Amino acid sequence: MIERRRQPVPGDLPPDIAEMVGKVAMVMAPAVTADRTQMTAFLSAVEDGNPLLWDEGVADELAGETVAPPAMLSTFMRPGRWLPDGQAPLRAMELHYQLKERFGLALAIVGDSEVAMFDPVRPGDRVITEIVLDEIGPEITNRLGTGRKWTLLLRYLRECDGALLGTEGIRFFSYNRPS
Amino acid sequence: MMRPAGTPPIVGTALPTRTVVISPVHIVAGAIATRDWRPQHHDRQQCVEVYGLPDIIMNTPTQAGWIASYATLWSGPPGRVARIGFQMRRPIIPGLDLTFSGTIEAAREGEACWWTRLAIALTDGDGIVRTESRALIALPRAGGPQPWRLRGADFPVPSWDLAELREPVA
Repeated sequence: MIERRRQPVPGDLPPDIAEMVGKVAMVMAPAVTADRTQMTAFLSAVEDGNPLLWDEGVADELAGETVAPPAMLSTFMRPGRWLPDGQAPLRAMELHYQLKERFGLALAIVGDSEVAMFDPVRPGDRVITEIVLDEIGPEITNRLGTGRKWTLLLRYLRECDGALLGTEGIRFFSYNRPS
Repeated sequence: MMRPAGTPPIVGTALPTRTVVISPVHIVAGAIATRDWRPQHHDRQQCVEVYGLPDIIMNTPTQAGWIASYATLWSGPPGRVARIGFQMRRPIIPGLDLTFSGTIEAAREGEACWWTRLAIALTDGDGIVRTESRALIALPRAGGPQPWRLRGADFPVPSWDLAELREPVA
């Protein structure tokens, strides 16, 4: 599991990457709107029959309103696949991909993931996501190949009032296979 | 089987297991529902030939959804999952008989609810743990508010070790 013991910034980092550590490096835009159809698709995909999340009467009784499945939080930083204006939407975890490209690392795996869920997301909420490069390690070689570990910290905020909906930490290892 | 409503959580209690035979649809439906368009979650040929994977693999948010679903299947609808953490040891791929099992690791009384930490394992048919996880879930106390009614500062999510809360419930 991800432990919040920040490691020192390694000396082999380019200065602009080193400067980025611990700060908001990117805000995913535009905001993603939570919609009920997507919520139902998520519940169906994970075969979650919790009546709180399906039945408006139960939701009103227990939560006072309809709420999204809490585990769905990270979906709200993921844009649709295609936009009609021809512009490519930002990729989910765009910063991760930019770091991969910057270091020339072709492959990546997610090791640990941790999400904390605070105020619930409701249908119609517009969610914005701030991405922080929480930690980045020196170049290492292991059984997968040579690369770097980094941890992104995502902060999910409701656009209309700035309420903190949750946070997520994802630890990656990005690497190239031995040639 | 759901836990009895309003009863204190007891450390060491085992949750009923749940087994799911993972199909390609489980992987792809999860990827689409979580807007994850990466080929690792829908393109078997690319997984095998480019990424060296055995098959398409279940993505991170879908695993979180399955873990939350397992926790609330036990807690019942009043249970409010507030933290999920997991370590993916081996990929979850089609064809696995995946069994969810869990134990109450810790439980403490908060201002408004009981906080319970569950250790949850996703184990394949050969007994190999594919994903090791834990979940922190708020449960209503008898006569207390529904956790899902609480907002903002009224729902302070404790740390994993629950150190800021009172002594263990049981």
